[in-house]
Amino acid sequence: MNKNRIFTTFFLVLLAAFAQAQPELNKASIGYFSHGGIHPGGKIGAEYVLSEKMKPVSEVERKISLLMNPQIGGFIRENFYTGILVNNELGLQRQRTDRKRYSIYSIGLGYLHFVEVVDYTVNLQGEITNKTRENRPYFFPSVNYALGRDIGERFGIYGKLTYGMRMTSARENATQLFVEFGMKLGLNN
Amino acid sequence: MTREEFVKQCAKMGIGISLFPGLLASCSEEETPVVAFSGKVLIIGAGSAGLMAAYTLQKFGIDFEILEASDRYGGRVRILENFADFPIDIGAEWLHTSPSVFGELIDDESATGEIDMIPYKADTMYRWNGDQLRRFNIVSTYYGEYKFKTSTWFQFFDQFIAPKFLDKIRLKTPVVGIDASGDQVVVEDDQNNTHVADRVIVTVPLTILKNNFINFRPSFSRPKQAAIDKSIMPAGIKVFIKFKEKFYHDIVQVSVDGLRDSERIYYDAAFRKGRQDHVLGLFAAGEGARELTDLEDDNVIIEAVLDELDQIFDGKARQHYIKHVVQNWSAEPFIQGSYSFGGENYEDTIDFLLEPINDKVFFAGEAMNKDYWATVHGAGLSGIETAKEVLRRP
Ligand SMILES: Cc1cc2nc3c(=O)[nH]c(=O)nc-3n(C[C@H](O)[C@H](O)[C@H](O)COP(=O)(O)OP(=O)(O)OC[C@H]3O[C@@H](n4cnc5c(N)ncnc54)[C@H](O)[C@@H]3O)c2cc1C
Repeated sequence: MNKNRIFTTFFLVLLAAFAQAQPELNKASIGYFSHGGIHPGGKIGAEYVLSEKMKPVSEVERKISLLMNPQIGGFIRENFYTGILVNNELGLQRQRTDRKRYSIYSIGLGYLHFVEVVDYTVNLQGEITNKTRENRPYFFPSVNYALGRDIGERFGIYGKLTYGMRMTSARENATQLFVEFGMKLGLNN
Repeated sequence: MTREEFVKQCAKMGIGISLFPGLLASCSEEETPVVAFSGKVLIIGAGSAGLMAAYTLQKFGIDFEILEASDRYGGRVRILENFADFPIDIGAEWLHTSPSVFGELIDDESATGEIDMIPYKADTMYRWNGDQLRRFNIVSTYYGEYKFKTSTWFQFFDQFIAPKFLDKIRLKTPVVGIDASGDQVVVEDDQNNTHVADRVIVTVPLTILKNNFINFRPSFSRPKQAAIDKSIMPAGIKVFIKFKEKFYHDIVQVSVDGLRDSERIYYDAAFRKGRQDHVLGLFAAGEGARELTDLEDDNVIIEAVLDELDQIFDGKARQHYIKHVVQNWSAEPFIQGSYSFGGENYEDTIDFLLEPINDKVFFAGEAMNKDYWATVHGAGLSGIETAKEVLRRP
């Protein structure tokens, strides 16, 4: 299967999931978002619950939620590039009802846009005087793992890893890693 | 405010440092005057460190001369012209730090000129393990340096540094002896000519110090000799090949004998230069270079390189080959290797490498910069620092 077909299929699955469920806006998130763990940025996101079910585990229960998580993030690597990631993820959250900790496994499809600095001029004082930039758009399918913890009724913190492939017909694919830390705010009552 | 900051501040205020060294001395917050020295300095070696030491002495109006063994200045910074439709750095090529370092090197608010740079972050990165070519593009997220776009490292020195004192560079003058046992320092070259000065700044490569090419009197202190013996400057080579087509990736790193960190990379030398010619560069240092530098001559070297490339790229190298040039730095009589390879506690070692002889013979060079050893800018900054050290001492 070529990569365009994979994207289309995946995108349709996401759309279908969203259309069939009656999504409920559950949480908003804001976090430090970094390309490769070192090039800094920020990200905001929303979390919709598409469906939820309880599964007994020994004496307690485990809540399994199907989540939809649209988000937008940006990052910068000085003198090299600025990037924007618009991403939507479909994920499963697992949390025991007696625990505050949860994990989310998700797959995502996004649009990753790099504005790359291709060259620039430096004067003899070492200051950059003129930058030439180039736009580079990519598809960005990804797998994600997040570990979170509810701290209060409406507040929690999380850490997340996103590993994906930036893809375009213009140049070779390249795997990308994003690291994120942030907080989530509960929105429903 | 530190002394450095003070000097910069004076420069910003338009106070001519070279005209008023005494004024600077009296302005300084430090006890040591900025320019306590007046006399003649001999600089041995006209590489990055030697040229920057000279540039600094010139700024402060100090009398000096550079004695360079080879027939050109630049040392391990050298240009190859008319090979392709862009000039090629056949020695050091990358800038391993932010381009703001040009400001630090030139350190002159009134200097005018521009340098076109490329942020060097390859799009396609591969590793060749002798059998398979594996993609590792993710590394480009972490890897990033800078390169000259239209000019070269050599042209930086040739345009902005050396013209200020060209008449003070004496080429083809290999120094064989430095005697600091008397009031003045007597330097002897290989033609038995003597050159006398009050201070000497030695900027020759580690290898030249290691193999006793220069006879020092008095000889090095034990710790200094131990530091020199312990330091490593292994083999180094560069090869450039012009091809009819670009069939290669931006970077292919070769694992030599399973040593993953061996420095042997093939790279697109025309990367983002916006030119027509296809030139592949090979840069190797350490074990990755020795396999090649130990070979008989340049013809055998290029055959070995083409063999390896044909293996990596299914015979495309010989198919598209036009011409090549081999620069074997290990075979250069006054270089004999690549650059210092650091090692355990290297920062402490540097203190001993820098140790002057009788407060008259000072040292500088790429191996002696604690922050950026093994680099052109590190060598240059070391030259500046040592020149200032000379100025500080009466
Ligand atoms: C293959 C290769 C690739 C490199 N790539 C890079 C890179 O991409 N980026 C980077 O920053 N650095 C790079 N380096 C390292 C860089 O070139 C050096 O660190 C730097 O140029 C050293 O400057 P230097 O002044 O200390 O020594 P040198 O440049 O070696 O200068 C010393 C001078 O002393 C002269 N000399 C020697 N003996 C005598 C004598 N007896 N009497 C008089 N003169 C003498 C020599 O001829 C030479 O001109 C590379 C080096 C090599 C070999």
